[in-house]
Amino acid sequence: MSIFAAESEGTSLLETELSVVILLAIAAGVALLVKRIKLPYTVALVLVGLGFAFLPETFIDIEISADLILFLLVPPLLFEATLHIPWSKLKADLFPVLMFALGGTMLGTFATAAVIQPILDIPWLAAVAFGALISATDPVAVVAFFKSLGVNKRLSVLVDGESLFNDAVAIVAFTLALNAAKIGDDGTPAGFELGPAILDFLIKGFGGVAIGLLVGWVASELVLKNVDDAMIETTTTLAAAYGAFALAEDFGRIFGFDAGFHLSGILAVVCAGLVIGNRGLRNTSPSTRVALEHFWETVTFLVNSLVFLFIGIKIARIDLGEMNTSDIVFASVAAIITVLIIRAIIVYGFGAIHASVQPNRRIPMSFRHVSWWGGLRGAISLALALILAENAAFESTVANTVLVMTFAVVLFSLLVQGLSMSPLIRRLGLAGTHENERRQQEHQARLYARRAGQTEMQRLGEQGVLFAEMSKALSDTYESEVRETSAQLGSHFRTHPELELSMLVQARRDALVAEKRALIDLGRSGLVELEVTEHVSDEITDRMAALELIEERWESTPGLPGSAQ
Amino acid sequence: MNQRTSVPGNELLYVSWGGNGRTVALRTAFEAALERSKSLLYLAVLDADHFGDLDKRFLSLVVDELEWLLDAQLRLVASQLNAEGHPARILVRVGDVYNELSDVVKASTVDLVLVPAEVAESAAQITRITGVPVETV
Repeated sequence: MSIFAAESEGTSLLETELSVVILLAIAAGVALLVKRIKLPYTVALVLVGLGFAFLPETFIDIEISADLILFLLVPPLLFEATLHIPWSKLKADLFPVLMFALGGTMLGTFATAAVIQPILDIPWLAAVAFGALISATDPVAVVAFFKSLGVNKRLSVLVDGESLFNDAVAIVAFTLALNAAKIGDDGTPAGFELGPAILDFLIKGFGGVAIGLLVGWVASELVLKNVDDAMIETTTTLAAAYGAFALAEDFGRIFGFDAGFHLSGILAVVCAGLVIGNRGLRNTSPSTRVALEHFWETVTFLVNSLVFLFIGIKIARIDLGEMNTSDIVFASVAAIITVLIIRAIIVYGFGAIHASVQPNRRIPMSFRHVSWWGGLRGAISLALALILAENAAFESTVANTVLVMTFAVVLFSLLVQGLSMSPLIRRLGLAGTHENERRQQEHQARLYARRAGQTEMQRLGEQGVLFAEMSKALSDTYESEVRETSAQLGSHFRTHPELELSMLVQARRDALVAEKRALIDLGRSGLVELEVTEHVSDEITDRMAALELIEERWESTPGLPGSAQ
Repeated sequence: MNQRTSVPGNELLYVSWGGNGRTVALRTAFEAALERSKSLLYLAVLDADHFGDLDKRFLSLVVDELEWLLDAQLRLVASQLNAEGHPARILVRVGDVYNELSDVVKASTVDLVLVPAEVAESAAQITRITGVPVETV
């Protein structure tokens, strides 16, 4: 046995490490594969995870628990997602975001419970717990999908914003239902009182917000503003992400008054991310900002990969005890249909209410369609269902029914809704600049290829490989094709003038990268002192950060892309 | 392009702020300058609403980079309109839009201000402050 392996009865650290390495290798392979096949990365990961049903459990020896998902994987993803939400845009749509996140989740919880309870004949509190865990759209799934689809910015803020804030409501409602169902010493359930429940909800919610704002402020004002060191600042943001979550969730024990008392960790990490993204990052030097962005991009890729693989693996390994196939199918179909109908009532109903309150900022019907169909469920629903299954509040048959319903809705949402989101968004004309940019790039690629062909014909003609007349004829044919493609590119730019500017920004970014590369070569050649080239290189990094900020501000201005600005 | 010397005579000032008027309106403004045989002065204002949160050092970097980008964009528009030789220059200012406009108009030979259609409602106030007629593009 290796001296590095811990001698314990459970899984050794080395075995866990090996499992993580295998998962990361699979994630990298999937990332490579989806570049060739048109499948969303997250969907591909879930499918690969499901494939683990055919492998022995020892192959990936990791206990996928609710704690692992909620405490380790979710905080950095929420933090990174909020880092990129401009407060100005969120503020403009804060009313609908909170209306959907608070009112929508509450309504969804009880409406789902009211429908599911009589259909499946499960205890009322189990139905409420299921309603709570399934009503909140999942920030991890939603943000990952919308990022990959490149949708309209306002739509993205509305859907991402709702998913980031509604989990707090769902988790509190879920916890209340679970606590109410616990059997007391007298053999009866603890029960549920509305007044204390609302007070508990408010304390947990506002407490979580306060912790997040405090952690975000401390990190932004005391560290990011006064320190100019990429390593220290990056570490600070990582500590802030987990710190805000842990401080809120473990509040009672840390401050020594009640080990069981906790605040909303999700709201804490969301608020910390918002403060650091909108305030802290403005206080960092441009080069640090670039380093921070790259760090969080990598963390998100790694953690997202694990989350979606875990979803697939967990569902593949589900043990449903004595549930028969017809019960499983019935519970799954009932849950999927109920969740879809209630989500539709909430989205279109609340959308109409919002339109009457804020007519100037009414949410377009196309946005509502996407918000309904794009309200994906994922890791957080799964984690809560696992908590319920591990809890003794309900009988195992009831817990298994909730597990089946949750897994069915999560799978349907990620695979069916997730896969159809892209065509829906395209059909509704909400694809942002993605499609237009793609067409622009196609024109550019054709132009580049034809120019290369023309140059080759001319070269062969000059070298005498082709006789002069043939070389000229081929080159002229290419020239007419080049002109035609150039005209198409020009016409595309006239139809989508915003692309011209974004291409200019991209070209400038490429040019700055080339400048930096040239400086590295110059430094290596010894013609100029290394210290000098590093100094000039830092200046270029500053320019890159300035360019990034300009692009970000341009994107967040009211003029819609594609409109005649 | 901002290195060029303006031709003698009156200039036509095109002003944009808050992310408006970055594409089609700029081209229309350039065409207007060509039609009227005037040099074009493109004033971009970084106002507090959109850039007020930046510290001074970073703001000056943003000004430099924006000037570079807009200069390149102006050259591109000139080339697309076959007007490479036409005098045009960029000015990036930080501050209140009306104050900056007033200062620039006083210090130049501007006799017409063009604004993007999105901010057409500000035309009357610009005329009142600068004393120069305003048209939207």
